[in-house]
Amino acid sequence: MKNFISKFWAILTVFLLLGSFLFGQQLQSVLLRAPFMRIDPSFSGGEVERTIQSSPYTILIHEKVFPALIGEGDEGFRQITIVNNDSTLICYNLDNLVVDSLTTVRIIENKPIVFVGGHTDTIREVGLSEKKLIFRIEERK
Amino acid sequence: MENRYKTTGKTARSILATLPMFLIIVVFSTQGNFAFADTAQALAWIVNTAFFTLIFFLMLYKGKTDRYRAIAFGASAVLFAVGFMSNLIEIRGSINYDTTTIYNCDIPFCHIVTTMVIIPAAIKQTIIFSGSLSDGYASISSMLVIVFVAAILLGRAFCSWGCFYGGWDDATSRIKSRPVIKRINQSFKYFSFAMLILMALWSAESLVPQYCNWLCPFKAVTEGEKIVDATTLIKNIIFYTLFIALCIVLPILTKKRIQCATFCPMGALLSLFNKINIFEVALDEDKCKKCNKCVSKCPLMAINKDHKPSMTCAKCGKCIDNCPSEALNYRIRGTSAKVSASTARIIFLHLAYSFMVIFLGSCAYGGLTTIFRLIF
Repeated sequence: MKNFISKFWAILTVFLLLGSFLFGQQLQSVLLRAPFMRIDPSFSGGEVERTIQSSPYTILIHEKVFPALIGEGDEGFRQITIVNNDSTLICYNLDNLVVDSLTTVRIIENKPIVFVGGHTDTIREVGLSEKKLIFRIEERK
Repeated sequence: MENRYKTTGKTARSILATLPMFLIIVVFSTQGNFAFADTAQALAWIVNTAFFTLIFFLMLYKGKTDRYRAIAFGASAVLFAVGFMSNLIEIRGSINYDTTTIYNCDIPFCHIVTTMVIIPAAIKQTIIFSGSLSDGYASISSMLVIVFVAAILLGRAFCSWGCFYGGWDDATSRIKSRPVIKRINQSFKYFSFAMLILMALWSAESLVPQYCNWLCPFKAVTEGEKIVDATTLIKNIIFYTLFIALCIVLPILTKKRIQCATFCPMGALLSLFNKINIFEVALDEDKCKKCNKCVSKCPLMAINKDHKPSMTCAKCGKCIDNCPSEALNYRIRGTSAKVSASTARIIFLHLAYSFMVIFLGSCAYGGLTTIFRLIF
């Protein structure tokens, strides 16, 4: 009996493997419902707290993030994402854009970003792609 | 005359047993759609299908597992690197990633990251990786499903049959016929468990997958961090140095898969799943002549001094191929080693090779397509 069950299970594993690849999409959607299936805010930038429409840009002000394994840390950041709704490249003479009264952002063609205002030294890690400009402002509790 | 009948019978049996594998390769590589984008893709499909089918036939016909597995495994690793890099160039214009790529969550998820996301996923209920959850190339959910299936059904056999990195040091460890460094402390294999614990804790504490960030040798053949400052320069030096040392130089000198045996945290994690896996490599103590060939040949240093495979065995079949007294064989747990050796081998090969042709086969197919497009 033990012999039979073991062999049966061994053969079944081949079909389980094929099934898991055939129904991979369904398994993925089950997994996506798991509570841990969300990107950590230290990578995603966190939930969007406020959206400002400033044609042709959409400015997303994310909530403050204080990354820590348990609870919240003392040091964190606030992410600001500027999405270009046009097909043109981002950062064309967008002057004196006030973002959430935290800082002033001046973006000049060919010079990806220039920060003016009181928070220049606290801005870190700028990400720039064709459609998106992302930067993070250091925050402390 | 009798020999001729035997050979014909063996050939017929091997062809019959290869047929289901051929169908699996065809179904999964085409998804039922034979409309190829161009000639290069069609040619790549023909070569890929013929190659993987032939390898399986030879495994069955010649009765040697590791010899033919290693050819498919090594070729898949190289073709994966080609396909992966060309895919990145197509998607984001470069094989390098930078802050933008990270903020856009555009990094493909690899199975090794699983070891580092477990603790934060349990405590913080988040995935500490800058990838896409469900969309795009190598999404987190697709890779986690594959890792879960591999862990349950294959255990550490994934490291010899399914990992798209393992082929590098597996191939280089075969370059020399005799090792230059002969005496290696077998307990080095436990270093991978230390790596697993260290990486899991360091990554959880910092909320950054630190193996990927600082130590992954395979960045050298997949995607590297764009050099923008001293830190990224140092990281790249570490990546390339580790790749050259662990995947090329040391495997050549020792004939061991040094990266996989001692440095990979994923290998250690999968070793734990070996305990619940239905297949194992078992020793028939009555047949064993204690020649130590298995101990010296095992590329993962997984065979203990008592000649029994340990929990770190990746079921590559090298010890089985090399055992002069046929004392080592694949076995289905719960069955007798003497009774079920050939049955266990056939079922295990169908399982492990199916995983290889579906998972690595798709990587190899992508790499071949890229190469043929460059040629034609």
